[in-house]
Amino acid sequence: MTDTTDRPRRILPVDDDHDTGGFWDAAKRGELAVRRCDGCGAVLHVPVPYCHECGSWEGSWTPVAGTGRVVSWTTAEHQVHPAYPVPYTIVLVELDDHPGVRFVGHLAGAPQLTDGQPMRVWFEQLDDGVVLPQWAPV
Amino acid sequence: MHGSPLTMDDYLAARMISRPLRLYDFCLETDGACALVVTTTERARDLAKPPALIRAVAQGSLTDPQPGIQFPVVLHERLTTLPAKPTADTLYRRAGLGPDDIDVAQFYDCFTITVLLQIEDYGFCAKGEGGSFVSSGEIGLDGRLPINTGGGHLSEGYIHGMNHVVEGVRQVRGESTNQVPGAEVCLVTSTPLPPGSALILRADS
Repeated sequence: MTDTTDRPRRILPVDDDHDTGGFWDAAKRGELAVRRCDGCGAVLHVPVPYCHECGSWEGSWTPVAGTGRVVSWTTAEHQVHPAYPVPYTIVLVELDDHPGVRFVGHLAGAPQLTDGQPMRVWFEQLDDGVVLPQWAPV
Repeated sequence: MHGSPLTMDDYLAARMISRPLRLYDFCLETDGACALVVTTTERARDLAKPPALIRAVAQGSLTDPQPGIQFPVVLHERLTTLPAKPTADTLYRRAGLGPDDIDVAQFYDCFTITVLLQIEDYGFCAKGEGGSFVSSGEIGLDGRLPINTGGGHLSEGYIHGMNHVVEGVRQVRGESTNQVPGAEVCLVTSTPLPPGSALILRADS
């Protein structure tokens, strides 16, 4: 199929993978979710099917609060992909309710950030119905 | 980059890539190859060149290793401690040596920051003091710890660490183009992520 616009296409994640599809399904419902082991409750992040704590193969997707703190960030000024104009800022956010669980987010431009700054998740609608959790300063 | 000295003004005038890293904080892109012959000490002593003895080797990773390249970086507790730290602990224990015994070092330098963190993780200064250790001149030929005497990935070529091993061999043989006088023990480190590895070479004295 031909894209009739000149807009560069964003890179889309595979959102129906067996091991990670639940994350993207939750995002479509407006929820940020992490994988939890049904056997011992350990959070398996990044999501994996096998629990390295208790050995269980059973897990579920659990909604989390969607708030966190800035752990680190960098501002990219070297243009790589046409759909991602520079400058943009890559931020690493640690969840308030699950310390140690971190997500990567994309912020346009070069916003002023500080270590530990409060952040909140939001949900970006991409092409083909994909919804991408993103982060913004509170 | 032999014959092309880089001044601080040149460095600061170069374009930003990923703040705060500028162009010259990134290694070169290089097509090249290195070869090493590993054999017994007995056979090596019969060859034309003096052998470089492998004192110890080690590999290490941080706790909770994760698949992929990016996530080991973003998930481990302290972003400024590399797998170089557990690698160093094992390496020094196996070698029966410590940072004070190292005459010269070749650090895997895909980026400048990678070198600073490894200088700390391998115990040459305290955590957080890598920057001042380097800026005070301690990594020069007449400093406490001359490093990357072949130019490394930042200046010689990015041969994924193999050129560091070759330069380590040259140092303990006494035939480097930037020879550290009397160097007998050389630390060589490899890519710091996701796991890390390193070796200590010594002269056959």
